[in-house]
Amino acid sequence: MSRLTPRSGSAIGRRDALRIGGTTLSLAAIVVACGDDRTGDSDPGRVGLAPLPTVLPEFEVDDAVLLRTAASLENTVVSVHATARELGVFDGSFATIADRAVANHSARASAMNDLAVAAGGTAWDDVNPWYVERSITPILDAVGDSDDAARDAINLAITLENLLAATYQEMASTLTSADARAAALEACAQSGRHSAALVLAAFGVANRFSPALVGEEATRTAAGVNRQYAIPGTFGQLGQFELVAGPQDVNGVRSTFLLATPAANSYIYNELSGA
Amino acid sequence: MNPKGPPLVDLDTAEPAPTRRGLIGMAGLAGAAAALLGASRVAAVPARAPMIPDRPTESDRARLGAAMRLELAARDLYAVSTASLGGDEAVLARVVSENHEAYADAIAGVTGISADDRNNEVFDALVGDFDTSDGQAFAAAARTLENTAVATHTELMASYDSIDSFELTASIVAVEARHAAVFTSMAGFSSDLDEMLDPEATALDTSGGAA
Repeated sequence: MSRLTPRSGSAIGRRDALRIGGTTLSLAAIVVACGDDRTGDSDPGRVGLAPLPTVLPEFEVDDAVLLRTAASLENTVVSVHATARELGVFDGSFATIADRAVANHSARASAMNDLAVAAGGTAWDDVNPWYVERSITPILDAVGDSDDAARDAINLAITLENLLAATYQEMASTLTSADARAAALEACAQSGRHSAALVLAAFGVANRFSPALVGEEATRTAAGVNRQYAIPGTFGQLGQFELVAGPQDVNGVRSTFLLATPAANSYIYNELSGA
Repeated sequence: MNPKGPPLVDLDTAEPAPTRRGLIGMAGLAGAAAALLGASRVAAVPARAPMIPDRPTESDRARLGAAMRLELAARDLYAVSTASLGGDEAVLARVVSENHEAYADAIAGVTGISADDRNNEVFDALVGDFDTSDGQAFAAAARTLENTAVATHTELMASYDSIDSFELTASIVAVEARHAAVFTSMAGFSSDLDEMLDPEATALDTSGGAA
């Protein structure tokens, strides 16, 4: 037999076997893929070994959430004032106004909780854990270590009033209930009054209004901290509030803290339960 | 350009086999859809009532118009004081006058109403008190006006329909309350915390749109 003649006795060669096997496996995979009894993960395939992202739960932000958040901020301000009282850093007319502000904030927290319950939520009698953990605790640590704790505590008290006023200003347009909007606007006005009164008590008539309102630059003090004004601008501001506090570092720079109005991370959702 | 696929609006065309570009396009759409699905999984889902309009309604415009006339009256009253007072008090009066003018302008901006028609009833009733060289007397008149303005805006807030009206009113009240505290202190009531922090004030009657 010539070596060039095909062997008639061998029906399937090695290449044929590989081809047929591959075709069979492909068809089987297609049949399996088209079946209706598939189980397991249906998400798109992933490339690489990166950890799976954590999917956040969907929490609705309704009037009750906003009002609970407002109550939590009021309680937070009350808590900060209690700490300031322990430090003994407030005195004179500033301390008198601060005490009245604390009483107003306690009453406002109850009022916001009543509105939250009326909106279908539950009362929140605790502080705002996000603000306390991320902002208040580091600020109070800085105040405690400061070369002028009274100055920093006064600025903190004023900044918190500004934050509350801005929070209520924002909520006055995001709350859907007319009663809640009116309550938020009243609270906005009251926190603005607290702020202005505290500024006047601490810094006097020189800080009645920001120099920016007469075309001049608002500068920092010789100690490098922000100046506070009873009338800081023409319209209520919703931006973040800057607070410079604590001891100077080796370069003479103090820590800067930014406080912003509540957002997704700091809302007291209906799904959260207090302490 | 020479299109390689069927016209996008030709619904009668039989579905052709996808081209390479078509496949890339489909993959892109699938990716975008997947991204949208992913984006919906955020923590906070706003639950705003669906029927709140952004722009002022006709009834909002009428009420905002009344608020604007009050702001213009306040602007003119403080302008009188700016001329009558001296020193830092005159500067303060000018700052507050300009603030009230800014509020009137902002209201005009969202309503389309010209800011040129002040509330003469308010102006005529108070101009005598504002036309003074006595800083304490000026402050006493000013604190009453500011507290009245805050009360009026707050009362109007409950009847507004639109987001613009809510936002603008809140941004005005946030500062007018501070005006009031400053003038209350300047008027000699700084140690009276009821007057400083929790003043009683009656809103102007805006039912006729004349405030």
